[in-house]
Amino acid sequence: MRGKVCIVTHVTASIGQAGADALAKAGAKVVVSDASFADAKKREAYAKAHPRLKVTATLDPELLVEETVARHKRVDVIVANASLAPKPAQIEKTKVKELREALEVLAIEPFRLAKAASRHMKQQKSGKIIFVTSDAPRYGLANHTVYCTAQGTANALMGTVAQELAGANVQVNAIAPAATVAPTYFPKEMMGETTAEKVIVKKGKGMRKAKAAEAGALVAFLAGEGSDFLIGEVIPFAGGWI
Amino acid sequence: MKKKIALVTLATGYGGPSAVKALLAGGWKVFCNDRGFSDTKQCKAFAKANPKVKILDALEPEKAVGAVVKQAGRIDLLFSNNFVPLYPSAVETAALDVYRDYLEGLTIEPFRAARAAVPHMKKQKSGKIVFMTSAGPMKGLPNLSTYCAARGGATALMKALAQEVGRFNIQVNAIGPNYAENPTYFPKHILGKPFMRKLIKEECPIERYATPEEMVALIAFLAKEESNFITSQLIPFCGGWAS
Repeated sequence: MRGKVCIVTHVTASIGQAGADALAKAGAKVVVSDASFADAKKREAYAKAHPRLKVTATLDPELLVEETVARHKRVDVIVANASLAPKPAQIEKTKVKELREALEVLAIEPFRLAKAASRHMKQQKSGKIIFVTSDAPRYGLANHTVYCTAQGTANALMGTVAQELAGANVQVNAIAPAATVAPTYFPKEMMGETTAEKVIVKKGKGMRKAKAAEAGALVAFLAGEGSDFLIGEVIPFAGGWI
Repeated sequence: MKKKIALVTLATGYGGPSAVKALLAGGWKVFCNDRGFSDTKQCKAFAKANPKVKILDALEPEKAVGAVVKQAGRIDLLFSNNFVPLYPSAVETAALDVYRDYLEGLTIEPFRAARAAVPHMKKQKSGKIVFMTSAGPMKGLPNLSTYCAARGGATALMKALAQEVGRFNIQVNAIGPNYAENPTYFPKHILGKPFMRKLIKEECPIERYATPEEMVALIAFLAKEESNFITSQLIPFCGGWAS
């Protein structure tokens, strides 16, 4: 990954930190963004704790891509790591506003990142876009219509963008982490009262939480040349969770 | 037996005409709305051509469902027929505004309709919801990434909702067409053009497009009680294009 320029959004959420660390370890320049970095103190503390990562307070997707390209001359990898706490509710108890907000975070923001990055990647004739989504839309999750609809939109977007950019040597795929990655990557506000441990025990004896290094290895694999033949796949990162 | 009550949204486009035909033939009482019904001429022409159909003024999904329940006392089938004009564009130039319009029309509108219909169906302890989505996201349509995204979202909604309401005897499915004759995306005069015939021959194993009668038959089947064991499914209707 030496010489490659990567962007990992929402680095403190989901598999962001694991992915950013793995990419940096592989020698890439890794730009990381997070809503919490708007606070200068938090940003400085994070930067001090993660000296290998290039910390930015920019959140706007287009600006993030353009600033990265201006500073580092290229963009090779996007990890669109948007996540959202799914709030269980029967459909009639949801608000339409909640669906609009979920789509904004999970389906529109990744589109904006992919759109902005694809221009540069087409010119470079190479690039990798990794959407962090969910496998829940494939089988459907009761009382999660808002979450599943938005994640299904993201998966469908990923699939068609992948088809479109494949000819330009840009590979687009999705990682679908399940709650087995909790609690490090699925924070408490995402799990509600249910801890990951409780859910995992319910699911089966062989199940366990994923290790950060495992999440990082998957991100690094999808960001590297070894995965060029993978196009438009949703890869569950779930330890057997269905 | 009392007539079963159906709502077909946006009845003049996409799967609307086929749905109306299928349901009337099946003995349903059919309520319809349409964007064109605010135009008196269009509304009268539709009423003349479809004298048995109950026309609704309400275009908002919640109001349309409310009007059906107010007038008929119940709602047995929601045929959420959603479509928007297409603006093909490569991903790097695809407009954010267009994407938002797709999401509003193709993903959020069916969500709103289902959200309004489900409480009534739960009370009735029966109901069917059919979403007209698309086979597009199954394979990906070049230069229509945001359209496919919005359609894929509606299909995902179908899956999640089916899991949620199955125990109330409510079945939720989706029809995913491509290369099926319809007034919105594949009108007959376009399907007959040489480039289209060539494309269909290359892309569709069945080497032809679907007729509206075939769409009628599929909708009639999904509306029947005999199909109650089928739920949480996207039925691709595309001659083998997506597999």
